[in-house]
Amino acid sequence: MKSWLVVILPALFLSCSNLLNADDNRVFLQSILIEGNRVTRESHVRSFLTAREGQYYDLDGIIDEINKSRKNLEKTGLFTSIFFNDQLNDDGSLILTIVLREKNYLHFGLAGYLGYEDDEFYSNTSLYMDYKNIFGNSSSLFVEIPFYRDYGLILRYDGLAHPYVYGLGISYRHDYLYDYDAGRIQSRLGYRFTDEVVLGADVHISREDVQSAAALQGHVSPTTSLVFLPYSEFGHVERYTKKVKNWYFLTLSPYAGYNFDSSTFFYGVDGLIDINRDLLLQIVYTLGIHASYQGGTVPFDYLIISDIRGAYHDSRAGGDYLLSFVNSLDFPWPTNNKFHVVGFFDFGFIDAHDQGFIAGGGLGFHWYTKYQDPLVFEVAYGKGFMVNLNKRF
Amino acid sequence: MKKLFLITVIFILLFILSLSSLNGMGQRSNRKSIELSFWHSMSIYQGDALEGLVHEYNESQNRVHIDPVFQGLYGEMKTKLMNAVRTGQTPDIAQVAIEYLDIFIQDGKVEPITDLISDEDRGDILSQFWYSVSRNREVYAYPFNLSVQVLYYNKDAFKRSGLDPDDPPKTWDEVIEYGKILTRDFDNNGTIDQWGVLVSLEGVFGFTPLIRQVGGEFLNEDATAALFNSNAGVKVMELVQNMAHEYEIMPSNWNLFEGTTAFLEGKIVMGPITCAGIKFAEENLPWELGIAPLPYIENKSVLLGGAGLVMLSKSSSRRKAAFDFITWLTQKENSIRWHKETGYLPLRKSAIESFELQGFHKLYPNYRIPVEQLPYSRPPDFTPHLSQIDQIVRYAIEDIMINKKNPKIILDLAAEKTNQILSQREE
Repeated sequence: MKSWLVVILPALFLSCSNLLNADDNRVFLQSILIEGNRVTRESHVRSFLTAREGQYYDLDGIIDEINKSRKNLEKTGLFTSIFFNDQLNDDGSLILTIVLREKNYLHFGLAGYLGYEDDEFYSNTSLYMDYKNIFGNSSSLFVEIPFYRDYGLILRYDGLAHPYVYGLGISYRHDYLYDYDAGRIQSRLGYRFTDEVVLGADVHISREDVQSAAALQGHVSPTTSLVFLPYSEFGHVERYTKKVKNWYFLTLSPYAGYNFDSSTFFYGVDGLIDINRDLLLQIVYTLGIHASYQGGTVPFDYLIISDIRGAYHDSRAGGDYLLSFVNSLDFPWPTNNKFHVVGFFDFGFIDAHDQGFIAGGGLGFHWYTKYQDPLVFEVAYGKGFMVNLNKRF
Repeated sequence: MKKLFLITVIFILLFILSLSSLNGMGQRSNRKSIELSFWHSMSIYQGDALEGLVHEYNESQNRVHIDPVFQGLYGEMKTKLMNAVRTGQTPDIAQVAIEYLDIFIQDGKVEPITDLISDEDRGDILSQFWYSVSRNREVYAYPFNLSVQVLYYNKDAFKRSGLDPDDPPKTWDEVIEYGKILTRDFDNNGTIDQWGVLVSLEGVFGFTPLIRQVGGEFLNEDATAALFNSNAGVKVMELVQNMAHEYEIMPSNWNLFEGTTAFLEGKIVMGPITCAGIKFAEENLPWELGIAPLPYIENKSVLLGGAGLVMLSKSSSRRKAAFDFITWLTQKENSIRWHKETGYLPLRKSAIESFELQGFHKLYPNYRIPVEQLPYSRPPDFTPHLSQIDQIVRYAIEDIMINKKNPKIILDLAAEKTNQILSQREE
């Protein structure tokens, strides 16, 4: 019996002393408080936190959780400042207060190009409003009213219930040039697997009625279609800190659709990658490569269109494939880095009836306001002279 | 054409709307009861960071509006402020380099603020920072942007030369050894394409910490005589002279500006530079930046430089408002933000110990190095004649470095001139 105790007692002593030593280096996270969130819901903020109330952490552990939580919050794009204030109680327990400063969330303005060619002005201008974080949960409501060349209404709601993303949209557009009407209801459901990977799918139900014979070109009209578009996203559109020198964003979206009126199918795949490199002194070069391929009986509203800035407005005529390269070089003004000069040159190949190769280029002037959203003024030359004004108020 | 007209009208209306909303914001701020002018010396990204904080202060309350005005770098600010004092057109708050503070103190142009400082702030802000803005046991400025020199190095160049980029040199002897490996003539045309190091001893500020590293001092304790021509000073100058002429690991005739430009271009691999440039370097260089403690000779010592905020208003209500702004600007949260957005040192113990800052340093360890050097930091030896002495020392160092003159002879001559200036002051 005694020999048994001789083994057990030292073992107990050792385990207790280990526990005591561990507690010396650990901190008990009593509570997490959120401050400064006038619009954003507290529950939404908490969904991005990885530190948990009521748990013990060692110093490295709590600092890692703070860094992870901050990164998650930074990537929401909702805040201009995130500060973790720590306060130790008399009993050594920790109260962590997250002090947030929110951006302004309502943007509206005028976007698009005004062009002049062959003694005629043209435009694809629209008025838009983008209300981000509308319900305090990163959701956004986007309203766009195109006018001049076409008219209509585009409404889209994008929500985030971390890690799920979802969306619902409805749009109607009448195009004067091709004399067609198109309406669409679309929904989205996605899941963010990691910081850099989102997988999901869109479903569209669309209806179109194309009157112009030139535009029709063998397509069946009117037609109602159901389209399934699984998508995957990798990387980030923007760097969340200027300390990141290289970043990219890749989307891949194969799709398939069924036209009810003609009992025909169509299919395609769309891929886009933006590769950004900070060369020196925050001069950023961006190469965007857009590749698209489609086949079957494609409704007019789903045809591949050119995405070359500065190219003639009618280059939107479709084809079976597209490969385009978008190049831009963003120079911050040396004496005022809120002002950027952006030169761009884009070119692409599109399988269309009369346009195998298209190119455009121009110069943009971007002024970053205190809300961190730029006022954009662009002059582009392709087959016409164009001015783009895009202001977020 | 009717549609074009419509678009034009919409454009004009939208811009009028945006401009009127901007004007409206300005008008709101103008309704504040006290307007204070704030002259500062922060340019480019440091200016943006400072003006961002000022904007936030202005938005956070309705009593005081701060109007920040960039008045040039420290030297230009000193001249403008001296003129302003002469004409009685002083700003309410001015950012004055700690080495120029004596100029404004000696004639009573700046009054002490010792009594305004709370015990909490006195204990929380590091003692060497208070020391840098105090004279004769009175505090004349509030510590704000303070920095130490650290060793900047090009990690990519280390890798290319087979050196471990995470093992920078710790002593100046090691700098010489690394420099021999890093100094390269890539195209074998007889011209060095990459220099190992540049130690640009820019007058008092580059020379002082190295003298202290061998146990010497720049001036004596009551700043009445030069000590930089002691054996310690000679030893330092011989070391730097040898780097250029014996070991040929650094150019002998480049000033700090040339050196910094060459460093940005990757033509210099290592060099001591102020920590206030870390933010700029990290975000603007095309290669990976390494930061290491300033190498030492025998003892660790770094020079504390930078500026404090002085209050020049005579009106008590304006002084009270100015002090309210200054204490807001230097509180824990803003001290951390200032450190993150510029590289300047965090002022407060509470900031240094905070999880917020420790988390930041874990992500960006370059910023931690200057903070770790604080125990070895000291400001320069203060005298109202520091600018003149600085010029004398600069010329002396140029003579030693470019013309390969004997350090002892040249430093003795410089010390003689310095002593003359210091004795005039005594008279």
